[in-house]
Amino acid sequence: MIPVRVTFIGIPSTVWDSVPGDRPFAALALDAEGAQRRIRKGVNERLERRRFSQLCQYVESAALDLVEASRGESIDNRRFASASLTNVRSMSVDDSRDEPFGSAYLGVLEIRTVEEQESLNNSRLTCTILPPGQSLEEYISLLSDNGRLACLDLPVKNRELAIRVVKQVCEFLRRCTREHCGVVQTVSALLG
Amino acid sequence: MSQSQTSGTNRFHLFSQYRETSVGDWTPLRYATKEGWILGAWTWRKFRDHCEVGLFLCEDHQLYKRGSALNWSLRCILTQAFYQVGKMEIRFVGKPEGEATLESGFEPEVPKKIRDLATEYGIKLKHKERILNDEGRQIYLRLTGFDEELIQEFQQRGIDPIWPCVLVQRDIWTEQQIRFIFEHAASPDRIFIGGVDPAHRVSYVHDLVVLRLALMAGRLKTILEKFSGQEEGCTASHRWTGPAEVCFACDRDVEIPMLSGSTVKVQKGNEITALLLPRNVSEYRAHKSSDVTAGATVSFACVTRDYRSSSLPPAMAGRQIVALFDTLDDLDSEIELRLRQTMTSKTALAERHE
Repeated sequence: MIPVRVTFIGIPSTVWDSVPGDRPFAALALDAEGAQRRIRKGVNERLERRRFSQLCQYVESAALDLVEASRGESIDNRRFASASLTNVRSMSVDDSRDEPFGSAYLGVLEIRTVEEQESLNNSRLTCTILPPGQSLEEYISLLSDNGRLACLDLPVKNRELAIRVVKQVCEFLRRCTREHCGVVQTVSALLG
Repeated sequence: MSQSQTSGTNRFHLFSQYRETSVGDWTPLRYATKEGWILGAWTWRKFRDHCEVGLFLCEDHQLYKRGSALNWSLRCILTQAFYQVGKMEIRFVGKPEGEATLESGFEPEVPKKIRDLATEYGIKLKHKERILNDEGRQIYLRLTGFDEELIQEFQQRGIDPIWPCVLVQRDIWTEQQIRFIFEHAASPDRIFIGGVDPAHRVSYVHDLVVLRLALMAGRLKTILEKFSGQEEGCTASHRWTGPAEVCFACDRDVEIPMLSGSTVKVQKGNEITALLLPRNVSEYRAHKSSDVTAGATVSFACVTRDYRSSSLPPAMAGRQIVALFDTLDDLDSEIELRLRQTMTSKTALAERHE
């Protein structure tokens, strides 16, 4: 398996509603949700899948840039000039040599997605853009269903690892909920 | 083997080999090279549960690898049968004597060349006039070139080994890319049967991580072979030494142009290691520290065109870097196309060499 890093970026609602550029994260999240709905209904599926991919890619890149800009890195941050970026926060789960946290988290997500295959929750689990409020709370409750986590079809060691990483992620997400943040997830190869 | 004897890089199917045909209609097909040499020709027709071949001719040419005419013609027939009928049962039809016509067929028995090839692979054909489905599958697996160990691993993980073989035959992924995907992807079966869904963004990106690396290695090989200071080009081979590290070797000395304007020389017989970094601008920024650390142990790093972006800080300054002509978005579009081609049986593939 390629080692991966999953990064969670918490974006305060004031920033969520105002940047990047003309269309803020809030509008882009609605667009993504619309595309997912049309895919589910089978309306113009191929085009909508492409649109959804591009939207997510754009939002994930913008969120990564936002983190860099909030750290004062010298990037072209005109897109974020209209907002105060002090409360933007991020957390990563990585695959290290001993403990593949990143892969464990993605594994849990995959199993939960299959379990929720038939329900509308499925689209919440599969999207990387989680708007502040109800969406984020739903995501946390879907992810942290303790009863189901204990029954995951995984070897014991992996199950323990999965439970640990889910707890860690949920802790971060709950903090984001309390601070009225939206969250964007990014998955990238950890090649270092 | 000389460079010109590599049949794989010269193959070209003149006819649309995957086109739909009506049940019972004879269709003539041929296997020809870019240079215009016809190495194989056959007529075939399909029925609900099997395919029939009425004429089968193939002949090697001195320019190409010995046995390639039979190898590729047979691969085409078996792939067609698999796609259009779902089985690899091939019946050879024709009158044993007297006046044969196209309608009656010219092949009363499995041609000797095919029978000899099967024997060479240790497969004994049970019938004189037909290749049974199981026999066809066994021959096909051997023709594609995957070793027995890998085929068994496919089966152990619940993957029908025919699928990866068909992907290689259809030029969607190369044999090495299939091996890499199998070893590193979270769900290789999902990739092999085209079940990767962009709407499931998280798992899609997880798969993309692997597919981008597989594609990038192919693109870098092209740069080495075609754009590296030799007018006539060279032939490069590669092997993976880590999840993102590839060792290249060339059959002649080449100089690879670096982003800085300098060159890195690959001498014939020596290997050179590259680190593949398929990222976009934001990801290069976000991972600059880990990428710089990883780049310290290799000869050069290979990046996408996104790296040229003027807003990017020179994180890997002082390192040797090769930039692809593609952006990450270009790679993703190509992957999307290949995944779509995996799912369809009706589209003839455009010729595509990396």
